[in-house]
Amino acid sequence: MIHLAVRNAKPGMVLAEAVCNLHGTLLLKQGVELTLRNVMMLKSWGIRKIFVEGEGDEDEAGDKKRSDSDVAETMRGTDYEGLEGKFSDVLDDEVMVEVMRVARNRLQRRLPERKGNDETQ
Amino acid sequence: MKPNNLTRIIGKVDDLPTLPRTFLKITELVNSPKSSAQDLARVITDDQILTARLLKLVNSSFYGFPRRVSTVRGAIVLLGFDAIRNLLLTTSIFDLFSNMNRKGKFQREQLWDHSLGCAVGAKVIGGYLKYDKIEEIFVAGLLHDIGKIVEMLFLPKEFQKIAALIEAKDILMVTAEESVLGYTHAEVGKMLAERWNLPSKLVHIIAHHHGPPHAGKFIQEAAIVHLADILCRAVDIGSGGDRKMPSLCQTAWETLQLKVSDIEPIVGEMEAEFEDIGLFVNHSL
Repeated sequence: MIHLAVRNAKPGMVLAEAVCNLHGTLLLKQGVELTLRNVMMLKSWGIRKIFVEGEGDEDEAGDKKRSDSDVAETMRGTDYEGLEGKFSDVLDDEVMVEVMRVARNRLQRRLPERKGNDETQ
Repeated sequence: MKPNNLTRIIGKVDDLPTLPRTFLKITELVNSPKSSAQDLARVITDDQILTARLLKLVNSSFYGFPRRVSTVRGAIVLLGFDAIRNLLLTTSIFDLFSNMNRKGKFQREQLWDHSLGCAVGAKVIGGYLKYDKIEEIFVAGLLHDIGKIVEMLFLPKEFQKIAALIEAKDILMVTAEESVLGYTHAEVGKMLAERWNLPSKLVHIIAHHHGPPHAGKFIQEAAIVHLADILCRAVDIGSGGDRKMPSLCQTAWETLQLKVSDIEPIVGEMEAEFEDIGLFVNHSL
């Protein structure tokens, strides 16, 4: 049995234990084979971890796959120069430095052609 | 603070096209320990549009119940009172964003995305903290910038000045608001939330999402929304109306007791969920 983060769950995995929501309502029975739809449903209920059948540690491949998912381009305004300016007043805080690093990573995925230039900074 | 201006908005708040009386009745019922699923169902079924929406939502893939739910009472029993109230509040807020005039459509859509992103972010952070009222914190995220919508609708000239000031000086919206209006969207939002008789927790979160320590016993909730707001701005989920990062309140961060290394996975989950729920909200309501 593997204790798995829902974000890493994949269609075809089989539930080793039933999943209930906060109110105790049964969402999925033990033995159910996961589909994309019911993984999404588990997320919508705020379920974070599930038990699936199999052996070994949590599969980390799911993270990689998810991070590649494309992001709606229209929602994304900042470019690299913008990022510097945006964070210029708050970088005395280590948390905000990390937030900026994460934002820069996102940007590099969206604007891969600029990756080389900006990784050197 | 320029009280005249604020009073002018207060006078117009009743014109806002949302939060039907049904919602207030529902809030009352949800808060009363004596009410039954039957009482709540009666109020909802009086409103055909709400009934249709509720059943559509309950039967959508968002909730993904294995069998079809065909009665309002069935929906209430499955979801619980609080969830129903929050779900109806969510649909009412969606109306607020969509029913407004066509002017400033892009800005509004960006703000809607920012609000939805913040709602999803609050939900994800709430999950990390094992916070038990996930739906409530989601609604808080959705509503945190409601004051900006009010400004857009009722103070269009001032709002334009604010936008121009942000453009010219590249400053935070709150700074521009202080300079043009003498108060900020947080105060306007608080006033609206009080007008709507929203629960005190929501009023506090809206009022203090930029300064959680002022939220008193709701500091944790305000801190959750505060961080969600910052993360949404960082990765450009919609736009809060400016291009600067507000600073992170240290007390809020300490309240959350998160690790710096939690930021990346939280942002990852936020983005993934925003895509899922964004599709759902934009196409299903």
